[in-house]
Amino acid sequence: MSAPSAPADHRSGPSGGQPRLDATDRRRGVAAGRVLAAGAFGLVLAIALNAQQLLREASQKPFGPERDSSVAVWAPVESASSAVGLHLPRLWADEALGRTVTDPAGTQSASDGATAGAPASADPDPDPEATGGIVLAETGADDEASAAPTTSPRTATAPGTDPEPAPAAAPTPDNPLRLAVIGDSMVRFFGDTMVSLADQTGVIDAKTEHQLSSGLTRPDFYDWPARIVEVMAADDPDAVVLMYGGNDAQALIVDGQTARPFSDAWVGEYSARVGHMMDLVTTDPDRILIWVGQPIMRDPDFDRKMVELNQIYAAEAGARERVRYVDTRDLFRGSDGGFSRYVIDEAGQRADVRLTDGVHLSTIGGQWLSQLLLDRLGEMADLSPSAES
Amino acid sequence: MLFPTFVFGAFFSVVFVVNWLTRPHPTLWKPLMLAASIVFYGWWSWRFVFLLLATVVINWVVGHYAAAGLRESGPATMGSDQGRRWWVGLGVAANLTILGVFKYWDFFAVEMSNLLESFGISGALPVLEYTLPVGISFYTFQAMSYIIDIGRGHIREMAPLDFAVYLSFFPQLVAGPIVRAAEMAPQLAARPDPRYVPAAEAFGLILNGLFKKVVISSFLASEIVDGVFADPSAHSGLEVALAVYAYAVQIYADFSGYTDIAIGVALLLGFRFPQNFDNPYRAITLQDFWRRWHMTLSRWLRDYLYVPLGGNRRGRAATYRNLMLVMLLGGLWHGSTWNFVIWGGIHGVVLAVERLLREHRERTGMSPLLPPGIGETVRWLVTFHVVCLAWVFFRSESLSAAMEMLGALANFGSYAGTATPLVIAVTFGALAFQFMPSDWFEQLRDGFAGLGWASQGAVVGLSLVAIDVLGPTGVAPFIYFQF
Repeated sequence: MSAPSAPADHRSGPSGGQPRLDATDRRRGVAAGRVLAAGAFGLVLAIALNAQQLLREASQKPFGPERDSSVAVWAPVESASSAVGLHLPRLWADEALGRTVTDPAGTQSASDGATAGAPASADPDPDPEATGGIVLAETGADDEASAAPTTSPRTATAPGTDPEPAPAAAPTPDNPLRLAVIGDSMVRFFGDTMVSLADQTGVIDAKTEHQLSSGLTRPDFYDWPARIVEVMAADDPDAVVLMYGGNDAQALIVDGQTARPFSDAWVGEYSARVGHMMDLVTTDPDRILIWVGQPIMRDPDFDRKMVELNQIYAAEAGARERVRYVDTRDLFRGSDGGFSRYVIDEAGQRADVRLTDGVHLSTIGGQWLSQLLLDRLGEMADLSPSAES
Repeated sequence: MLFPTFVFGAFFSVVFVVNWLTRPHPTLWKPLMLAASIVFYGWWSWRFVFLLLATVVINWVVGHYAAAGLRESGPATMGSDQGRRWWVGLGVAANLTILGVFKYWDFFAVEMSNLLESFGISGALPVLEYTLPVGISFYTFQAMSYIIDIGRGHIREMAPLDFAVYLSFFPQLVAGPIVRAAEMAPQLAARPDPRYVPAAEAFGLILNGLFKKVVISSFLASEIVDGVFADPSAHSGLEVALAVYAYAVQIYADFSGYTDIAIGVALLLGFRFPQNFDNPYRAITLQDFWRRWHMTLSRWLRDYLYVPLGGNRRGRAATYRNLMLVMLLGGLWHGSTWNFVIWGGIHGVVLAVERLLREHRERTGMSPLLPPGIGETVRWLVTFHVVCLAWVFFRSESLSAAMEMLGALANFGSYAGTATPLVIAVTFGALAFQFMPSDWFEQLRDGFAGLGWASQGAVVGLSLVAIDVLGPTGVAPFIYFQF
């Protein structure tokens, strides 16, 4: 046959035949006990040299018993490793690679009130059912978590003076509307599409930015308020699209106490954080903000949590003049009113709008959402090409 | 459970000790190994453990009756050969049904409904929207090979527990290599000597696989591939071309990295798996490529699809038809989208063209147009770019996205800065590495084998840290998990 052909040999080397351990392996083999000794020593050495990173990753897990036990395991290992300087090679390597690493020495178990380490880790055990090798956001945070205080989400301050006023009139190709599309992993799946569609208008200069597994409950993992301040100061966008929430149904800290998700204290604190983000963006009186609600989700329990978050977003947006909440649930509702990967489009055809994880959007879903958001943006700002163009 | 995680390291340390302590006692070893595989698989979703176990039971029962041939009742009354064929057909149908329900039904229902809708016929077929069980394509293909080989008389029936251990064996369960029963059964029956574990080769494969996955694949995915494929129009044509080359390296590093780890892990447990990759980007024809890429799938397709269809024994037209069919179905094996069909179609068409040219040359006695050295270089260039063209469809989420990617190759300007010197160096360095003399691994292995256990441990430990330092934080799932 000319195509799929069998390999001439199933193993590298000259022996051929059925793949199985043979005389060559016997000559090269060593006793299992020695293998165990070498492997165990290698693992112990790797752990000792990498203890800071292991502790850092443990501290970034959702607040709860699993995080507490992980930190309890790695904290003494890290202490011992640091005490004898075994953490230094890794530190030097990270510095040589230009990575900013926060020393996690202050990290303690969640119950003793210390702050967590630097933001770095993505989901440590991502959903393998995702597509294309993409790390997905955690969708099932521990609701019964106990937790430690985190860095305050409201310590970030808004940028100062507006370096360049936004165009009061309709944007032109020479003076386009500057748009920033920012958020968690949901933005990963529609941000680039929205930038592309926005660019096609000829009057929008769009950028996008996302951070996997991030949100507003864990600024110790990724400090979005601080990052938003930086983006507003650096890019001075005229319009901003924000989307968070997929990773936020987890415990947070209010006045040093653990607040369970959707308890009164939790809702109060989370609402304040959402409002603070909205205020950071709209400090500039010419800037407008679109806050994107979570779409309908496959898992009923997760979907209920997203509905509650959407209510918070809608309420906070409603209290602010230049913030608009955009509901996305109806856009992705199946023919039976619930979740479906396949939603009927305007031509009556079934479109595959969601990824297999039941959370994120497919390319088509991203196009639908992007178009909806651009339509809403058009209602808030004049996007008709100016006569100047 | 992902290989490049601490959880797997802890899991495997326990399994390694239990394996060698109990291996001399099969009645103890087999249930423990089955339990370990169930824990490994159930770590993702315990519900799909039942599907795996159901697949084990169905295929063993079918294999049992296929082996028995004649039975007192049922279809076996049709006679030995007929009964055997009936059971084999039933087994293949059962596996294809499982695969069809979980992997292909929604694709069929959506495409059929949309087709009917375009003719004004409403009444959509229902979609199931099941989550795709990890590794289902691999273990159903292994199960089919078992049933068919029994039907052909190539292998004997396995004992129930042996078959369960074989089909669920965790090193190859979720992403291959596709190990046949004929390769596993003798190894299950053997008693490997715990004094001769090929540790140097195993550690070398595991570390090499981790490096390919955690460092090379993840780096290229995050630095250029994901961004360019997400929005090709925002990048220059040169960046788009580089992203396609980078994806070729990424998917090789990802998949062969997994395979290396799987083979290494199996070696540490006393099993040798078949080789799955052999420097595929060295290939100078597409036929050559398929002798080097996902070798266990290509020989599966050859032995269980191409040959039964008639192979090249029924005339030229049938040979080309068989080639095309095999590659289209090979594409569909990867996933239920038109892009995978097109990917297979490109390979099928070019394989057919290669065959046509070869036959023409042999018939006419035509000598090559180019001198050997230049000719081989041109053939390598053409083969590599055909493979890359097909990868564009493989990687893109939709047909329109693939076309946009190809169209963006003609973009002038709009350089987005993704073609950094490091990205270029890693991409072309990894490609160049395929042309390295093949004995480098043996030399490293022999050097490692000459070290004392403490030095070996130090090499392993330092290598693990180096891989962790060089790789991005967090580990993305292996690409082939979705198939």
